Amino acid sequence: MENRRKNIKLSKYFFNQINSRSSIDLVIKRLKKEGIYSVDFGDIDFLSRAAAHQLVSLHNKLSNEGIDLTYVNVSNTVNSMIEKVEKSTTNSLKHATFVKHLNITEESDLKDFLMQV
Amino acid sequence: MIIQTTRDDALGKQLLSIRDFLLEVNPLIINSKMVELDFCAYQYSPPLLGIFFAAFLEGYPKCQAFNIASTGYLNYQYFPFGLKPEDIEEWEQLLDAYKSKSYLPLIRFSTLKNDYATQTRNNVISHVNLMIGRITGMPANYKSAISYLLSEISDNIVDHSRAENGWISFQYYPQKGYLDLCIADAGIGLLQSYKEYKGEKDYSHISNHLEAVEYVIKGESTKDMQERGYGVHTSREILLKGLKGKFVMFSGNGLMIDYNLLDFQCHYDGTLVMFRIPCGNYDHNFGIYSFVE
Repeated sequence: MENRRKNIKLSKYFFNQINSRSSIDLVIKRLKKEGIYSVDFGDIDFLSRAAAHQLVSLHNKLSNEGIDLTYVNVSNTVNSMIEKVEKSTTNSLKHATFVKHLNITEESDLKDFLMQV
Repeated sequence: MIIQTTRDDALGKQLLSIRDFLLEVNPLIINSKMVELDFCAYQYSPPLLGIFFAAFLEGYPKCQAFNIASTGYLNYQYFPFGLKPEDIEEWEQLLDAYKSKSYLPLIRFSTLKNDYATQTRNNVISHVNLMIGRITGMPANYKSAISYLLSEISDNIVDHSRAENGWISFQYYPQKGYLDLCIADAGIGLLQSYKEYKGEKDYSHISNHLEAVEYVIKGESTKDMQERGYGVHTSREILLKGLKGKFVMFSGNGLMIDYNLLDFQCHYDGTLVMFRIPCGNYDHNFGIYSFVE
């Protein structure tokens, strides 16, 4: 069965980075139902969080369509991003969202504030 | 209307230049059929001003630019219409020619999702990252941060702005020890993106631009897929806590500088994001994955 696994080399489409959701979509839409694939991350040293999320989300959907997908030649950095996204599916709490409201109404105060930036 | 620029790279000064321009031009746009913008005095284009005017001209076809210098520095920057990689087969070589400069040309990338535009956009962003690394000499862990910032914000433009193009500008200041990286669009802005949302979540309470900026930071995405909305606030945290840089986001009249949100008392329909990143004294222990959620 593994001999029928088709290799999809991402570096055939992209340079060394996958930077967007649509980049993942470009590859995924080429997969056929009931197909068996290896997504080859060879020469890819960065996967954006958005792209990793798209991949993880679609992977589950593809499994339901009978598509067997594995990842090969995954660098440590790419693996770190995939793991972060997979972890967020069970805990989607967002940190670092602090916002401090500045109530500046006078133009002179606004200029004073900006000149200190 | 004569367009002014500034050689002062203080962020506040550049933001005030943008504000002064918008306060003057917005009433003219409302009351006139055409507004002529004279760039005779615009001899220097810092990345924030350059990207702002480029995106503004794209978004307001009623405003016509003239007297833009056709030789020299502005020409190398491809100001104001940008270098459009989808239209230039040899865009990689063109960008490579900037390796000995301290800036890159204004880049105008398509937001289309067909295969060609997607592949080109992905690879342009990769190559911009590569060029920033070459120009600044920054180590790999900092290059990953640039990759993160650029990819997340540009992808937001593709998914949310409804703009035809996104923009990237970059300048390195080796004497001052930092770089400026800006990403912008002439799209519908953050508030309108929430207003046009049709889905299961309720964003009807988001009624002004400041609230829209705040909700973007809090990770409230207008895409229904779960576990979205991480790009902007983690980018901000990587920049502020990890890189010790400065963060600017401007949409409508909402202006965010670092963690501070205020009424900019002027209006821009699109969205503009700027990262100012210190260079040198690199922390070898820094890594983006301690910030990624």
